[in-house]
Amino acid sequence: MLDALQVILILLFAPFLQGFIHQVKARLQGRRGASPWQPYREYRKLLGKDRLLSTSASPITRVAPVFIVGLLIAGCATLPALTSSAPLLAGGSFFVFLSLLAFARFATLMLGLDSGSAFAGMGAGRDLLFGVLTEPIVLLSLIAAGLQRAAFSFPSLLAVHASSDIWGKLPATLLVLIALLMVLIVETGRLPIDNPDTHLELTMIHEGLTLELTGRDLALIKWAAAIRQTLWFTLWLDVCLPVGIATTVAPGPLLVALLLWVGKCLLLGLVVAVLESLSAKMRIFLVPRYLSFALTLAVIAILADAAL
Amino acid sequence: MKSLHRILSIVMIAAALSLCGFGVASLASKGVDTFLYTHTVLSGSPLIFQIQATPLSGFFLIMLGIVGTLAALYGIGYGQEYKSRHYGVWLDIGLLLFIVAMALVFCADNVFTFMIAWESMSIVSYLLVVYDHEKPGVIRAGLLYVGMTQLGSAFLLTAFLILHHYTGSYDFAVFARLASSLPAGAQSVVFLCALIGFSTKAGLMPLHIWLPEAHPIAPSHISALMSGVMIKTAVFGLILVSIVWLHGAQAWWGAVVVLLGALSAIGGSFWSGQEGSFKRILAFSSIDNIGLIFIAIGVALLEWALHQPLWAAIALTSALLLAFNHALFKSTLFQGAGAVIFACHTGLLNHLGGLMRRMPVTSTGVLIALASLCALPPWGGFTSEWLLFSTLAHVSSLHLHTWVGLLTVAALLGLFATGALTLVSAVRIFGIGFLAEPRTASAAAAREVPLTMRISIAIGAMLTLLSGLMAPWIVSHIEQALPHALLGAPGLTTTIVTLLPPSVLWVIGAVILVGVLLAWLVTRSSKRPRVSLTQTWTCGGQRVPRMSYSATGLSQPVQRVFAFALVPMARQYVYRPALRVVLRTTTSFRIIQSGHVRTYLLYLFATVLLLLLIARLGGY
Repeated sequence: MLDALQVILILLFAPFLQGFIHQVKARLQGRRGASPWQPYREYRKLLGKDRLLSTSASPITRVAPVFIVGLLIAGCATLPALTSSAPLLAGGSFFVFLSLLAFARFATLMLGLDSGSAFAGMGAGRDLLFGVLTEPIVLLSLIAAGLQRAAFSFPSLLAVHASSDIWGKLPATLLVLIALLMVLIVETGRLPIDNPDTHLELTMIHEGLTLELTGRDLALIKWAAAIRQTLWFTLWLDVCLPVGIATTVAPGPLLVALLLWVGKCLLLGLVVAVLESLSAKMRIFLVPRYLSFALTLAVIAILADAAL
Repeated sequence: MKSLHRILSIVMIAAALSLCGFGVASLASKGVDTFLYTHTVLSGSPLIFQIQATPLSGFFLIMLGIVGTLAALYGIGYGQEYKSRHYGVWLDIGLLLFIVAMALVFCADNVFTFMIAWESMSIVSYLLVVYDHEKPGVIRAGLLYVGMTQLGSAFLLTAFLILHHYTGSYDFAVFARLASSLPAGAQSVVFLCALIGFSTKAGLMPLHIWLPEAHPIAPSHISALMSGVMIKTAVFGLILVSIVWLHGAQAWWGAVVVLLGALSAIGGSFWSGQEGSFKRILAFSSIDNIGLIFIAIGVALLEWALHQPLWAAIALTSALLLAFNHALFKSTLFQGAGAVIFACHTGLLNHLGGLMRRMPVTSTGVLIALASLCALPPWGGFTSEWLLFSTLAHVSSLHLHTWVGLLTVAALLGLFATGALTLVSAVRIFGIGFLAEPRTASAAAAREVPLTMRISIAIGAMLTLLSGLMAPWIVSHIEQALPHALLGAPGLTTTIVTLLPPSVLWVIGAVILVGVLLAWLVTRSSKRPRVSLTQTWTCGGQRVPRMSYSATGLSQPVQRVFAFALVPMARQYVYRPALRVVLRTTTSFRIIQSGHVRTYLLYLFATVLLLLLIARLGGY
């Protein structure tokens, strides 16, 4: 029950977070910007529109958008947002969570390539490259966080955090924190890696994959991108800043946890928006260098675990 | 001839199914080895034909039975490709012999039987590989295969002879009893010989060079059996020698196997993302999966040597689960590749496209099997990688402060990199080969393949999904196949249940479906939106199918970033130097080859004289 509540919370909150980041960015650029509720209006507008399908598309295009959102919903059910003691899908295992996200990535790539658009192919190639680089870093960082206590699922990691001071083993935590933040920027398609606001063909990555979509399908994919972003934010908060997560299922701590989770997400959104406003887009082939730095941090975190 | 082809195929299906049933029976025998058959060929000599089914061989027989049944079923329709060659009747006979030889390898109970079965398996598979001998490059690849195989067999025979020297017997039962009491040095030599011998057959890097040449050129259901089951005979053999007989005596053995496995996993998955032909991609992906299986076996060896029988047993279980799932999805994928070649007469991804709409059954089957290859939940490939992940993570946490912990973390890094690289090859296969529009006329003319081929692919695809959903149940039966010493590890069943809880895969599948339903309900509007079809946007120009991205372009970013790794390592640093040494040695012998008959007669005379002298002095 509580698990379903967490899922619905993430699903409903995700577009707001997207709109909030947009507004902060607009403010930083000296514009007034749209209200944070704008994404919801946009989805409603898109849902009322006709669907245009490519003549070269197969049934994949018809089912993939719904399927991608479904996979991300399963992802939401694997990740604790408010409390560490509610039952989670597969016990909140790291591996299952990341496999679900990989499945969603696979479905998105299939959806993009189905139209036969060259922009989708270009975006797919780049997204695959990023996947190859980020997946090892994410799993290695997560393992580094829980290696000493054999905690390989989110609830057990939170339990470790609750029982000991995470700042007690500062070096490893700090390294994991930075590595995961660097990956988060790649995975949520933010500047300096990808620009979510551009439709300039040569720079598109995630936008290129969904260029052919219209109406209902486009609404679903935009929603999926927002959910994915919220999931990565929640993951980062669970691992690096688990302050305030309820350890029981009593209503009082849950309410506090809810407020804190929203606050922390918005704060992280603010950080991301500021980072975006401060940086120019990076050349695609400089990203491996950026990510190899994150990989090095994750490896050092493991070594720190082994040494301390 | 067509009816003969059908009769042979049905006989084969019956044989494979009975092998499967026999495997189930020996697996269910609760650890009791079933004595089968013995026949003395020449009394007073080691030439005794003796077979016996253990629970471990039962497990591999089930695998062989399933893949063999599907291959035979597929072969019925595939025979049309060989109309001019009597519908491939000789191919059927070869396939039957191949299945029987592999079954004998799993059941052999002494050196004589094992080597006979092993060699017949190799020779029959060589003949099957060169079945399409008129195509360019086939003979050469076949020779490379048979050469590498013989190299491997030589090492295996050496291992057996050393064991015979110390135990005085050729019986596997005696080896199992006495091998663990051999001197440490001899044990290590036996282990290394077995490792080299078996990893040649398995296609482990750097002994893999024959695999991407030989597997793709064989008729596709043969490739399915070779990749699905034949390379697993090596896994079976390595488990038999290093774990059942030698009890994983020394920790460094495990380390060597883990490192070679990680090398293979990363290298295989990387190269599979760069190849352009469907079947070569699959062949490299087999190298990758064999690498993962070897990582698991290596961890089992390591943990047994470090007196952690519980984790040794779990690692071995995950090795067997990996092998089982790989057999299912890889044979389905090879059959799918065969169907594509059957329909389009090409397997090059850049010449395909648009097959999803022209061959819906085959394409859906390939897509489902690819999901298992990519380890997507809740497919079979996912369950085995999840179990391997949990095993590696717990083992590295257990030995965190020693080199073992770092070694397993390195293996974990290999597992993660492999997972992401596999996605590259899967996206290329399906996204380029099956989606969008056909790039050539032959792909545009593609039609669905004969019914038996479709049925075989569909059953295979269903099995890859089912083996995921039923994984906890399968694992509980794999436990029965573990060697006696590991079977009794305390807490084995309870630990595995916590790592892979029963019904968890059903729950994951159900939650995904509920999510899909939810997303569908949310976006369903009261009035049905109009759907209209248009061309894909091409910036206003006239669209031609060649405008869609190619497989080469899709993997270009990965290729560019890892350009430094694009060196044919094994060829450049292992095989060329080795070949040079052989050539140099043989050239130096040329001095005594004068070409005159008189000289050779002198050599003969001298040799006979020498032998007589030795016999005289030695007192024989």
